[in-house]
Amino acid sequence: MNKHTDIDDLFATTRHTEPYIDNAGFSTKVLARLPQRAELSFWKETLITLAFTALGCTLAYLFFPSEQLTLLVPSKVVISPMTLLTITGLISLACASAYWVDKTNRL
Amino acid sequence: MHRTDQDLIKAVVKEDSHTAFAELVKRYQSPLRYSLRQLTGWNEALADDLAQETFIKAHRALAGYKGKAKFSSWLYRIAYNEMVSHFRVARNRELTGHINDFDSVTDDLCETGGDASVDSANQNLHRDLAKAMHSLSDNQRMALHLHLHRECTQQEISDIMSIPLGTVKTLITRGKSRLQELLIEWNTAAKT
Repeated sequence: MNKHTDIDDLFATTRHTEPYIDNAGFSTKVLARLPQRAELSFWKETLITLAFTALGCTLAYLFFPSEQLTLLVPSKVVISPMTLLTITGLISLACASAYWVDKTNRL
Repeated sequence: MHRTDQDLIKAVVKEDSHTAFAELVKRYQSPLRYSLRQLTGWNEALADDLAQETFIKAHRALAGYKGKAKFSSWLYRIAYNEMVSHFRVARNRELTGHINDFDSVTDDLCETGGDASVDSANQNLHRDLAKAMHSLSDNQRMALHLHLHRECTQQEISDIMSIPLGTVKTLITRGKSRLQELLIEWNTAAKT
């Protein structure tokens, strides 16, 4: 008797009769042990955003030289019809480009 | 819609999708748990623990999986390292007088979806072969299992176990020879 054939046959039998081991909660146990994603609830996220916005505004109010900024604001602005038309055209072009990028998934 | 392993892996890595990972676990849990049962002398609890650890580590390392090897081969590599590491600790414990994991081999065949189709002779064969293999070294067991049960090529085994091709050949030849001796003893014992 060829001894290698014996072992090969034995493994061939186990290979062909390999039982399907039922999942029976196995994957649930694995998933329970995975690190949980750091997901914040809607309210927590909103509160954090508002808190930091308020903090930012307070800091800006305290440290920003508002008087100097006021001096920089022009007292009179004159826009010619041509300038207004150009600005409107540029804004329209930007909007159309953004719409096209979004619709064609170019990003 | 059937999603390929690559699609699922991409979803896990890019979106941290637990659903996609659950699908991967469901796809590979049965063959991996069976393999680990055969490699642990049919110790179901231990095999399932090692399989769990394997999937957890796979999840952690999935971003580093480049797709060069089959996903199953990559998974087996992690499982092999887990098994070797477990038995190293168990042997150390044994030397220092702690509980011996090798004695906790169960006598019942696992719960299976296809119990009815697996007759009792085959059930015994799965268990007894696993028990006989438990007398081999970790490397011999893994090489034999991958070669004869999973039908991996010697090159694949070499990659999975990170050992030279020549060593794989030696492990398979010696493992087969040793297993033949063990199974003759088992046959004799079963008859008496």
